[in-house]
Amino acid sequence: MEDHRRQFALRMLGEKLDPSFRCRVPGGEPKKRPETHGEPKTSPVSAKPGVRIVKSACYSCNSCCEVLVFVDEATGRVLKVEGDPESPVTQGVLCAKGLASRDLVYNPGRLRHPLVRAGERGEDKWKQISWDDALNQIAEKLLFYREKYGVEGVAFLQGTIRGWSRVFSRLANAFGAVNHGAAGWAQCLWPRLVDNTVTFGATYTEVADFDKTNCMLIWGTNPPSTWPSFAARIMDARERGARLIAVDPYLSETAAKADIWLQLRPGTDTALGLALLHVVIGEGLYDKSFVRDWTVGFDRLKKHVTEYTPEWGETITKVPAALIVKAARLYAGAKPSAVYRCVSLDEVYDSLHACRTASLLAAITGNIGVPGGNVTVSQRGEITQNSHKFIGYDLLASEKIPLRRGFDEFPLLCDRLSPVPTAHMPSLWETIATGRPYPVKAAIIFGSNALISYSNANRVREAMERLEFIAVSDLFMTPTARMADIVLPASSWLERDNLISSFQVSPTYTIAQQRSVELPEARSDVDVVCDLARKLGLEEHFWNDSEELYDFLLGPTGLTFQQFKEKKRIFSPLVYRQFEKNGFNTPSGKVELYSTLLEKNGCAPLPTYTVPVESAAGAPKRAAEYPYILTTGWRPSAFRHTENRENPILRELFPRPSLQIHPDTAGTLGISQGDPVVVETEAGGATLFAVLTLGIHPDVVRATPGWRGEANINRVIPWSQFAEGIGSVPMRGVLCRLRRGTARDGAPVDEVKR
Amino acid sequence: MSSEMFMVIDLDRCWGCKACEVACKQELGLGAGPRPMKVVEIGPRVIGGVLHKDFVPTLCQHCDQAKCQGACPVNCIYREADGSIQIEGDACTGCGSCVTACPFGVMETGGEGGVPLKCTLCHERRKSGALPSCAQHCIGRAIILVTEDTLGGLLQDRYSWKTGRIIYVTRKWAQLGAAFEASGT
Repeated sequence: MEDHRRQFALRMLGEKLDPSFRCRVPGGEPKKRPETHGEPKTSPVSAKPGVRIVKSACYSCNSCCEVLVFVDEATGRVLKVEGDPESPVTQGVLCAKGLASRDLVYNPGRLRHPLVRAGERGEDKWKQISWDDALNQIAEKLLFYREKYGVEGVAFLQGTIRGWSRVFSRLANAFGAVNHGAAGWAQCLWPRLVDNTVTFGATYTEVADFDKTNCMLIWGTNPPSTWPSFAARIMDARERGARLIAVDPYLSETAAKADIWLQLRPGTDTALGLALLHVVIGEGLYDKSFVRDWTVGFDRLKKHVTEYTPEWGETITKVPAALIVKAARLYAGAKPSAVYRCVSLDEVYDSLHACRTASLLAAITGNIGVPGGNVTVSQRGEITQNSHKFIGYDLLASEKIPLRRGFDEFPLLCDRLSPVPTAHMPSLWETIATGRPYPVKAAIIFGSNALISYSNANRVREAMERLEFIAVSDLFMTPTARMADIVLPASSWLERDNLISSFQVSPTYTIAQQRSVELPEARSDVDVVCDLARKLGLEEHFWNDSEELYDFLLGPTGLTFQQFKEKKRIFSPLVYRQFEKNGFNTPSGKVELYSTLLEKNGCAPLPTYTVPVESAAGAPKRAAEYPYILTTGWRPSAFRHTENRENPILRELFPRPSLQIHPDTAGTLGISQGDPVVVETEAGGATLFAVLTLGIHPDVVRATPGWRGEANINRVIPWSQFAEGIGSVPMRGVLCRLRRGTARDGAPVDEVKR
Repeated sequence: MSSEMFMVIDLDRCWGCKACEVACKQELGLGAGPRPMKVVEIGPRVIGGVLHKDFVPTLCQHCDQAKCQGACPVNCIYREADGSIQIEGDACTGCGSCVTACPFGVMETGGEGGVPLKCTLCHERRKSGALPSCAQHCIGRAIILVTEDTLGGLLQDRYSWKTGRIIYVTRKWAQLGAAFEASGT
């Protein structure tokens, strides 16, 4: 059947076109066809009798697409999840993850009771306890360890959580936990946000105005896999003639549709950005009046990038110099142009520099705050959770803050310029493992499969084994949950209310997420945090429950959460050219091409290329032993981080832990399609299945992250270098060696229980 | 629906994300296993010195001359008024003749009571006025359902292929396809 389908596809797109199959050959002058794609879909949605539709918002990723949840009125069971055609953002589209999310409720692996460890740590033996007992025990332990080892002795760790909120950060700060952190942050989003703060004086400016742009520079992200509602708008923009430049080491879905594909070596984004800046400045393609009126440091930048020629860029990035020039001219000339960058720029050894090159490119070409460019997020009127005030940063005793691991070295992560000031996690894991410079004995982990999602996973496991107390809140019995003393069953997004303002995808809307189904015992992390706060004696800083919190947040709008659920969403249009009224909230009031804030924090004030540790130039001896370059940037549309492997429908779309490798390289190493391949560094090894593809450079391999056991690629990511100022762990561009796996290397299969 | 419908799939807009596959399964109430809609990835491959990667959503073509229909020994495969090919489950014996006869491999065994599974063009779903599930959810907005009279404008200046009610269109291949033909391959 599979062969039939492929043959069928090749009849259309094969090298031997099938004339009998073709119904029409184009001829004559192309005529304008009716525009049907871009129009909003307004098809009516009605449910059959006995079926109720709950309008909610998906949280299968941070996109927060509006959805319709179809519920059987008699049984209360979720029948299906669909996109909401009335959503102004998605117009009814929904990705594979969202469409398959019903399984979150009914998967047999879902945790349904609070559990307390009944065997050895990690033995997976449990006893059911009540919520009250579970939270009492957690509170007692957290207070005990704080008393015994100080506020620095208890770690508050989180992941992507199960619905958007910052109450966990507030709890950490109210408790006094200086060692609060996440697997992402330093290598996910924070570098971009800190860049925005120091460059533009506005944190959340990740909005690319696709609907009005002429050129999209999609850098280090593949929206059809990871930002589906963006993907729809990118496709619409492309259809109306906007040009597309993709930066990716692999011929991704996005790169495959691009007008220009810049196939850089993983981790060389800064060099590419500097070469682009060189061309734009050198050829005078920048916006002279914007640069004159609204930026500072242009002359220094101009001088600084003189040496970063496209030819130099080619030596580092391996992108042909001529293509760099072409891309720079297209981006600068097509105005308005929008940059859309994502996590790849955070997961490199010089993350802040990489991010800054993209921002500076947007700034000097006058694409900031203009229709079709990159625009600051508007406020809808509710109280934002994205503030130091909301996370209760002032509740933290200031004399204790310097105890935070990483504080001296990574001020942009650990101190005030950070969106959520947080610990440097590799430093914290080392402290947990060694007891130096102080003991850390307890951890509370919400919505994070830490054993899988942190780099240098073998070391993280060693550290976690040293902890005396671990509490975990999650949906499933993850490897991390198995390590815990107490496991709390969290509710999925289908089982909870929430107030969502996704600054990343729906920057003009705040959306209501509504409980669609009841799952006894599973509870919203927000409610759990409120309860736990009470038991820790911190109730004065918290709300009774999630609904009271949402009422509080909505206060300025005059709505209660119940009223808001009826209203469904609050809209506020993108506001262009805000800077003309307010300037930029930087020390100079302008866009700081030369950043005084970075300079003050001991970082290079202009984006600067440095030789990475993980390179032949940085470590010639090691490069000889580890001759290949690894990136862990392969994100299939079926998954988000470590999630969704339990879901049979999504797992079918992407069954196995996979590693992309060029056929020439595979041939040299005796590796065939589907063979197990062992990827090794000094940190460790992982085994994944080979996928041979021409879409990757022969020196580069690209792995899917997030798998468990032997297949966890994070086992091979070393802590050999951290990004200046912010401490990001490089995961794009790691020296490694490869060999064909044998039975002795362990089975590269995910150990998820079905 | 009295008018005849055509599903137009714009290959230039297909991202290969597979949302359509899940949308389809959900509408038909299917779990892992059968895939009435399946996206086939072609490439990456080099054409004219350039790397290409394309995607083709494969599904029942609702053929003009439906081989499955001819193969069915109990005549339970029929054409609806909208032009789609449907299976009337009650009479089906589950013999699988239609599955073998399908030239595209888009019919599968494994349905309830042995009835083969395939795209229904969301015949039931559309009765309420909704779009086919794959068309609604497609994040490239690559799939649309149109009536015959609007078809002309959509096919203008594009390469297109059809054997029935599904029409694949592309602008990219208008150029690449011509290059193949010119080179005589």
